[in-house]
Amino acid sequence: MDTIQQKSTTLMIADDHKLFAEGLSAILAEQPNFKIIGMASNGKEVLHLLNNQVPDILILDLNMPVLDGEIAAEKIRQLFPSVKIMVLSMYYTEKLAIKLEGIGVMAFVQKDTNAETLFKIITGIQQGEKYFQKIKSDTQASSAFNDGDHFQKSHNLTAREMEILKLISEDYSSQQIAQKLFIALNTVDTHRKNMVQKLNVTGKAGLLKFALENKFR
Amino acid sequence: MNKVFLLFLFFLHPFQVCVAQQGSPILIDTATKFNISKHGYFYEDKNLNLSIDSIIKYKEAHKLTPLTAGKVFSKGYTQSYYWVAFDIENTLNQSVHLMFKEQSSSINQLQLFKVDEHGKIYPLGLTGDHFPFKQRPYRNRSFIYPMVLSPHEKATFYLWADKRGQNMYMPISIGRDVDIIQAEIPQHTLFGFYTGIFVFAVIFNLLLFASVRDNIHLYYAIYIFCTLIFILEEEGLAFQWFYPNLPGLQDYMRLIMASLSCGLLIQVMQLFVNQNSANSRLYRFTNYYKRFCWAMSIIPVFMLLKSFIIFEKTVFYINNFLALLTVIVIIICVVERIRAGYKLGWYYFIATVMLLFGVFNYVFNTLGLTNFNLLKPNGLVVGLTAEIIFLSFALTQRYNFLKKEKEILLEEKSKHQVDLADGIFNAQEDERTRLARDLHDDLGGTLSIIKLNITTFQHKVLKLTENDRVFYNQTIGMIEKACADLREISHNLMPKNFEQLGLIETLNEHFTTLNHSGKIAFEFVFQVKHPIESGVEITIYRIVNELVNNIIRHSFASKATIQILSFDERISIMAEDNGIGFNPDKDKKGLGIQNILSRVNYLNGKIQVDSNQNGTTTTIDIPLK
Repeated sequence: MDTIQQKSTTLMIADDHKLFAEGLSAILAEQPNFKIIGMASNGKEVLHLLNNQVPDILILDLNMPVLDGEIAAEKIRQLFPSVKIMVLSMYYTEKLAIKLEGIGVMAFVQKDTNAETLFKIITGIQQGEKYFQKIKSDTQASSAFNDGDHFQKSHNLTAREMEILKLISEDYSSQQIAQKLFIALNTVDTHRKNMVQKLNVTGKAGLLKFALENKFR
Repeated sequence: MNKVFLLFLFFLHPFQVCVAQQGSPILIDTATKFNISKHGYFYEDKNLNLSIDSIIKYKEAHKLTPLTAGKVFSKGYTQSYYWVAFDIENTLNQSVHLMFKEQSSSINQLQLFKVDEHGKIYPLGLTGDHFPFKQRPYRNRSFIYPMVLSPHEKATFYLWADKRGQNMYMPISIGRDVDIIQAEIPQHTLFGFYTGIFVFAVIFNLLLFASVRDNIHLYYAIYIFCTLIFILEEEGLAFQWFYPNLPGLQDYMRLIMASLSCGLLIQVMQLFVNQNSANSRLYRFTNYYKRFCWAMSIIPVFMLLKSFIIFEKTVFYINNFLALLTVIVIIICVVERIRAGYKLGWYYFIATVMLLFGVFNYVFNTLGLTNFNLLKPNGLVVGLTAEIIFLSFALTQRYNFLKKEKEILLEEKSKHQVDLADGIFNAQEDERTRLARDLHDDLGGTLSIIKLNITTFQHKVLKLTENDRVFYNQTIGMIEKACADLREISHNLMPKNFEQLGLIETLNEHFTTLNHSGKIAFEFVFQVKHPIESGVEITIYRIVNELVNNIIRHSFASKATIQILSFDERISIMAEDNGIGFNPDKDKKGLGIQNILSRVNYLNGKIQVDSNQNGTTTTIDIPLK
């Protein structure tokens, strides 16, 4: 590994966004230990280039005409397993990241990163490291309203529906509920219908029974 | 001289028995009806100058032609006077009360003479349709002369008839007065019956016209009225019932009515089968023909003022053929429309064929070509009645047909509108997808490379002054802001991977992001059992997005709940917030609401807004196809 490090890392860029590809190429070429050995504007072109010359790292865009990045990555993994693939794309989703990792892509980085990070990642990949960015706001963040009532969650009820169920259990009529909650009678009825559907009970009586059984009192 | 002549006659008499001219008097026995055609003679007075005296002499001189036995006296168009003579002999021992009846009501002038055995002439009265009704010897629609024969009386009767310029058609008969009058009863009943049908059809169509304001009914009512006058006039009933003091009118009334009804029938046909210049090559011709009919109906009006023989002749022939021609023109026009796919035309076709038989029968009778009536009272009346009944039915059918056609048209129109809306929404979505992609990929790529370029200098920043370094970091911050904005804009335009993720997943991510950044706590509850069609899905996404945007921008709420629930036959979207509310009637013009409304309409959904100062609940129900 050490010997390899001495040599400059050979890079190939595949991106249909010409300005980006050229800009990236210029930035990377400035770096002493990187050497750009080819540029392609789609997956097919990359495969052509790879037939002649194999880089250490291929920087691959996802959205490309003719042959897009994802399929190209798969093919390259089969045909040229020695090529380390780094996906550099505008898109980033958790799902996609998992998929690309499965294919054998070494890194999945969003395009709007900064130069230092990029250099670090490229160097890291060359040393066999994997980079899959953690997106700041994803599933874990949804706990914002996850901390609500467990009962409410489990029955897929809304806060308003909980209020209404409570009033139902206290023998309020729809009219009274409407007045109390400052909503129209129609709206109360819609809520009732929705709850009947959600709780899989039958009619007003079923709803009342559910409200009483679940101790809303 | 006279005596000698009589003597001569007397002697001649036995010889003459075997000669046809005097040979077979009508023998009056106990029978009720006596045939004239087997016994009578006629003479055509072409010079219009014969008196009763001269015709008596002519008869004696055997100049008269025997009538054709069993046939009605029918000579076609004529310019002459006609004389009919017959001998009569009462074989009974008692006097008989008979009636001579001339059934055609349109004989212009008519006079019956009785000449007794002694040659004495008794004029029995001048009548005809040129004289007021009350001048008739017996007040009846037909011309009736009562005649009394004493026991064993022999006499000769001479009938003088003037029907110049018209069609000589004169059914004559003799019968016992009681039987003649009785025979009138069923005839009156029959015409009363037909008149009833016609009048009913007229009223029916007038009422239809009043209620539906479709001119076809007015034309048709007038048409029926004209034909009614025509057929009644033919029997002398119109004169008797409607204008007994306007003699002479009836001469031309029939002609006017015939031409008018032909024109009207063409008009009705055109309206009924919706014939116009676009769908019929016959349209122009038919229009000219119609005008010709109108013109023909005006000519007799002039003739009322002054009689021109050429007019009389043309009008007579044209009127006979006009009816036939009209029916044929109508049949051709209707067939043309039926072949073009206008199924309703069949009704008119059948109705007209019914009329055709009647008209044929009638015209041939008038022209003297045939002499029988297919049906009682005559072919024309029955044909017209059948036509009127069937056409009245067809006219009501026409409404069913038009209604159906209208429904089909409406359906097509609404389908077209749906297609149009489909097209617009699809185009809009396509455009958004393209815009989102272009923005995200192209502009995003460019922004990214700008950021990369600038951050390449990061290690040199330390060499800069404090101010420059702040400026440099600000610039990077701006670029990052631009990147973030771009991401959001393109996401709003078309959420990334919407098709793969689906509505719920996309919204879930959206609300997660919103809850992270925004001031409003969004609660998103969904229960979707069935997969939703992708076109509907993106529209629902847009609706929810607009609802959320409205809440963020205008509601000042702290909490909001968005629900998407699928029922068996509908999807329910509910957006609740605890904001300041709005007046849905006043603020309807907002772009956001408009966007929601147009999309809900597009999905045939219903929207209900319940808003007050304590919050707003918007419920949208979208039917599932």
